[in-house]
Amino acid sequence: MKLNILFIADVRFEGGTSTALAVEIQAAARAGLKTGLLAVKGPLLDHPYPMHPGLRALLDGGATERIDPETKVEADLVLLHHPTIMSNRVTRRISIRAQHLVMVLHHPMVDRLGKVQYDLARIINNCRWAFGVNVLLAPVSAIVRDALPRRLPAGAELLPEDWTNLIDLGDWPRRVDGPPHNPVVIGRHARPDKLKWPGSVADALRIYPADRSRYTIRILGGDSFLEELYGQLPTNWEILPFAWTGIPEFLQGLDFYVYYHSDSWSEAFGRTILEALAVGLVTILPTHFQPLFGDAAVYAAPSDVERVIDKFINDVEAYARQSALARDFVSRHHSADLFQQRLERLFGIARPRDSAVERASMIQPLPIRHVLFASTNGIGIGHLAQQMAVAQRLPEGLKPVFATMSYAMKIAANEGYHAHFLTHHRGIDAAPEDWNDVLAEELFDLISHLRPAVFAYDATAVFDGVAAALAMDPNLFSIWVRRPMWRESHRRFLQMANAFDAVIEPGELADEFDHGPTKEMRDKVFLVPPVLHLEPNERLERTAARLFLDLPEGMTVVALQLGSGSNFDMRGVRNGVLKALLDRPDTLVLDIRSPIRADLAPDEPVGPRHRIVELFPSFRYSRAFDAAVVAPGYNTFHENILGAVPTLFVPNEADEMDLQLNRARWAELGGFGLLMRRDHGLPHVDSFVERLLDPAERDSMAARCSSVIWTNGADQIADFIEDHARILRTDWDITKGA
Amino acid sequence: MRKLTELFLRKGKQKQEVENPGNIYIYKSKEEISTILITTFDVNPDHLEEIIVTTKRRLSGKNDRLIYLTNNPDFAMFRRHGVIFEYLPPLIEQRLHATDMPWQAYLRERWGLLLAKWRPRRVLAYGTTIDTFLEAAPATTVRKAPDTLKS
Repeated sequence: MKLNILFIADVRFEGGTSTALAVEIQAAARAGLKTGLLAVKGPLLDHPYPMHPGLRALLDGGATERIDPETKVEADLVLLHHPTIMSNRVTRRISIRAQHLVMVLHHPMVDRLGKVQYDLARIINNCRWAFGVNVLLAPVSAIVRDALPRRLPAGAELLPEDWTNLIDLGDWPRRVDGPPHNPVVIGRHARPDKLKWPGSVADALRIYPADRSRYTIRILGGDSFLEELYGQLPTNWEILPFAWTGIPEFLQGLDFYVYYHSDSWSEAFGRTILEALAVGLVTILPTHFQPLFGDAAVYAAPSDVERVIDKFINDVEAYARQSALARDFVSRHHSADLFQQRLERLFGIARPRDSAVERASMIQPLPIRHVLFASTNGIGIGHLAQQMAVAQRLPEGLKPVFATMSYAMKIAANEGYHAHFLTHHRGIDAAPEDWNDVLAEELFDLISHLRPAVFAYDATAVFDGVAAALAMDPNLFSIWVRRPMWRESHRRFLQMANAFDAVIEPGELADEFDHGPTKEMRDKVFLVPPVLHLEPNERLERTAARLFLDLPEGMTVVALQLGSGSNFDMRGVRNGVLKALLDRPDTLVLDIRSPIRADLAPDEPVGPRHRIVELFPSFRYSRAFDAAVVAPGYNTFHENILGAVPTLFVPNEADEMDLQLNRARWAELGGFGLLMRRDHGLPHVDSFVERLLDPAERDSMAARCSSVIWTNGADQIADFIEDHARILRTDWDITKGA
Repeated sequence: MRKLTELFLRKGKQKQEVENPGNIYIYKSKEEISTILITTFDVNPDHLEEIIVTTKRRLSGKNDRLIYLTNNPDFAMFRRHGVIFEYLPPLIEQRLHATDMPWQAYLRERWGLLLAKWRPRRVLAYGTTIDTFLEAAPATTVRKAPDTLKS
């Protein structure tokens, strides 16, 4: 594949590095250049961040092409963003031929306290080893340039001009001219990081004054760390969570942009400042930013900030003048339109004559990559169903393969998926330690033949055999998808997170009622919304569903789905509920059995209005139901709430299960459903059923359920897998590998 | 890890050179258990119950475990009779996903691993034999995408 520019970056960076990269990609696309993006997992970020949404949007929109690490590329220019991504050698063979290799230095090599931030010589050596050419260093500012050693490592050269951050002015409309608000709105935005804030509370309060009669302080990217840093925060500080979108609107609501950071931090450039200037905000900064932003900003010591603000409040003309200077500075020095000129000036890369034709000709299919979905379960189906939700959302080019301990494996096979079955120690009467040795062999065997790019494991328990198999291939990107609502007895599995590259937690509607051990790990996982296999709008219409199930019109149909019952005896509940329902002559019970239930003895309906059916996925037909009585396992609970099925929840309270009772309590107390506990409510089953079938009660529950705002977390997990299936890893040192 | 399996696969031909594969024996801690492996590839599902009932009656001693090897993804019959089973994808699945991996190599290795896992004192075959099953597996046809490295 021939490209004008190959961008190489750790696409998970949240802040300015990714934003700057996004602007360059967009500018190159506008100039009609052929570009590709090769994603790297560098050593700097431990947290399982997804791809920056701005970059993903550019890939999805076709502004650049996703490049697989094994694709052969010839590029006029390779633009490597951020030096740390080459701190280690690339861990797989790449075939990239570059006319020019530029490494954009987004961060100074040495910080303000003299601490070395990255080993430039090692990085240059790794680049030359991977690409076979010399490296052109491109500092983003004079601060970064000045922090470089006078004598560069062999194989490195310094570009004669800075690789300044660019901004697309069209995305940052100028604020409407007018006098400042009263109280004056002072604001700032940055990713949540203590280093991005003044080190002392005294300075912080000089810069962001607590006088609420005069000032409102609006902070985007605040968090609990601010209280850790400063104690109780002033009441006029409005804290907004960090966000990728809505920044221009946030800035347009401010009167002054005031940005000061810790003395320990070296801001290489300050992209957030550039954004404020682009909007035309009067911007107040510490003096060390003057070489970067010149007369576009105003510079002051912390103790002078209020005085400077007062000056501009009292001089409307000076305010308008400063605002115009800010916008003009960005237009002259940092406009995205300058990117093409930079490329032509430095590397002779010109705008192609017929860009549309050339860009269309470059699109090539990516090599097929396999995603191995492994799950436990045995008697259950939930983990497998969740994985199928993700698998069906993977893009072309990623092929799902299943290896499951679920006896319901045929569900995946029947859907056309390549599927394998793994025995669980309980099903074969084996000692866990013996079984783990075998499991490691079995998984390793499958992995070594299939060579998947991603291993996605869905389970509460992580077995030693799984961890041992994963340890054999550090380049296999491994993800543990585990739901919350754990019991304390499952805590021991938390430490197994170390066996994986990322942990993803599908959300819970009943999150507030979760007090389990996973709650403490929230800051270490990628949180996604609740996952559903089928979305509510993918269900059959009521008439079609009733026709399919051969349900007579006019009957009240209640779905009964109480699980396999192998670890929590629900026979009493089933019998009691059945009787109470069938005592009502207009009611028909659809008794939905798991296709892999433990109780396989043939059972007979207790009457003509009791139908026993095997349905998967039963949610597809749920518009046919007028109500349901179910055990609130993760999937069924979220399906019934999000599908607005009026439901009586009967939790399975076995010790080995998740906290189903808490889910049901959330539903009961919020008016989304009803709760009946086996050992507490069974004597009153008639009144529960009466309430469930009361039309007003049903309407009320359905209305509450319909008000829940939700997006399917399966989409985000599929995106995450897609982004990591074609990632070049430099996050571990292969020279020290076995 | 792989070395262990490969050594085991040579067992039949080079018994004297083979390392003891016992460290992946599934009943390492339960030495009293012995196993019989019963393959049921391509057996008509209608006959499966009879095979299970008959083999259970005739073969199972107090310390015996019968392990059924199937290529039918529906495990209901095995579950109903409470017996142990292993699954290998049927030929139709192998062909459907032929480019996913080198099936023949995988299935041969998998068979070796199952023998090491269960250490059966006997292997009985109903339907297609394991040799025929393995022979029929697709040869390597792993697809190559354009512009990818050959290595």
